[in-house]
Amino acid sequence: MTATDTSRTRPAEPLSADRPPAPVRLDPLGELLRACAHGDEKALARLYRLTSPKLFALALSILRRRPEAEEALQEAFVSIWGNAHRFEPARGSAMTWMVTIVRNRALTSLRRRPPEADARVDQLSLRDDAPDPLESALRSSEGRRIMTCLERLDAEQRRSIVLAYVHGFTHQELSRRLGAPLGTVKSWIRRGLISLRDCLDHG
Amino acid sequence: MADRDRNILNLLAGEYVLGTLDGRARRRFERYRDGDAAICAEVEGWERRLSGLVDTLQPVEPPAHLLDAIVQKIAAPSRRKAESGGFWRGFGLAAAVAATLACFYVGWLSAVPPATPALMVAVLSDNSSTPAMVIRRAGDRPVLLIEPARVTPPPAGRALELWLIPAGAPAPVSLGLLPASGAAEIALDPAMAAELGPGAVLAISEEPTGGSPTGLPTGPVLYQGPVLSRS
Repeated sequence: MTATDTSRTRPAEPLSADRPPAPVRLDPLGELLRACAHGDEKALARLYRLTSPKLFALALSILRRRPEAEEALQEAFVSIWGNAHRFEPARGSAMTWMVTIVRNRALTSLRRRPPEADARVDQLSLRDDAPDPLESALRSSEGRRIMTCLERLDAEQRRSIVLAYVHGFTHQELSRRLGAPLGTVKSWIRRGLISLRDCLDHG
Repeated sequence: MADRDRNILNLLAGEYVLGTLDGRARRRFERYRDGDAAICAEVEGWERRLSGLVDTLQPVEPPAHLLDAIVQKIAAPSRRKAESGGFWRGFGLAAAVAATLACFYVGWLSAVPPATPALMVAVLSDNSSTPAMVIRRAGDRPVLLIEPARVTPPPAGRALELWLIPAGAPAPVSLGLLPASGAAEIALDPAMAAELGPGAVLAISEEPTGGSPTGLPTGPVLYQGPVLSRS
């Protein structure tokens, strides 16, 4: 039997490659986003199950109120669905894209809150004896790269950057909570960002 | 741009993404950013660098009803109008999301290929090499036209799913589900459109209704054929 005959008579086989691997591959979340862009609701459900615990933790840590965090997560996922066709894998990972959407949605709600409303939830927010964010981060495997770089920062720089990112704290809030003058906090952030960038990009 | 300016711009973008660039400075930065590819690239760079910080948080399982609410919303967008919450709030939040995506949108616009009309066609054959359908790109519109010639409709509970294997790629990427007849127009995203060149293969597999549960073909591959295109 010739090779051609074999290929004609063989049963359907899974698609696979007899070619070298591609330089750019979509991560699994990117694949799901792509399916969402084509209207696949099951893909959205899978995407949600895979990412919502992290994204909900983020919304919750910024908004510090469950109902608002739930609303933010819900609306963010509706946006993710509606804008999935705009996701470009070459410009960043699917998780980065979704984190950006959830975070901006949550920060917008936070910044719109009247100041007194925010003060009322202070008891829910970070305690003074809260563990260094690095401790919980080190348990995760995914963020190991940024954690390695965070470790190289001074404790104040690290704390300011992580608190600003995951709690949405402004310079003023950081200054109040960390008990340092505004200018000091600003320079912690600036120097911390520079070190983080140099470490992530080059080392 | 001088190195010094670039460094300042990069740090502004970092503070913007971190959220510590506030009030007027934030709005001014957004005005400069919109439509500026260089600033967008700085912003995206920081979004990439900092998004790993989410791992400093312990994951929290959201309540079970949330997914149902999301599915309901995307299935019936018209229902959204009837909901409480107020027009302005909804408007502002939609604008916030649009701002998030502004850079991606700019990127999308610049990714649209120049005016040479695309010519792309693929003839998909079944396992006995009998041509079953023609798939072609409609000019330079990001649309694939699928014209069945000899397509057997899938059995009940099964569906036809179209896959693209880009040249050199180890695994297929779903382009979407086809109706039972096989005739369809499928919207292409720009990244996929760019992959529809020589060396790529289009294929159709039989999957559960709703599509492959794994993101890769799970059922038999019924039809396949190479992509032919003018380069």
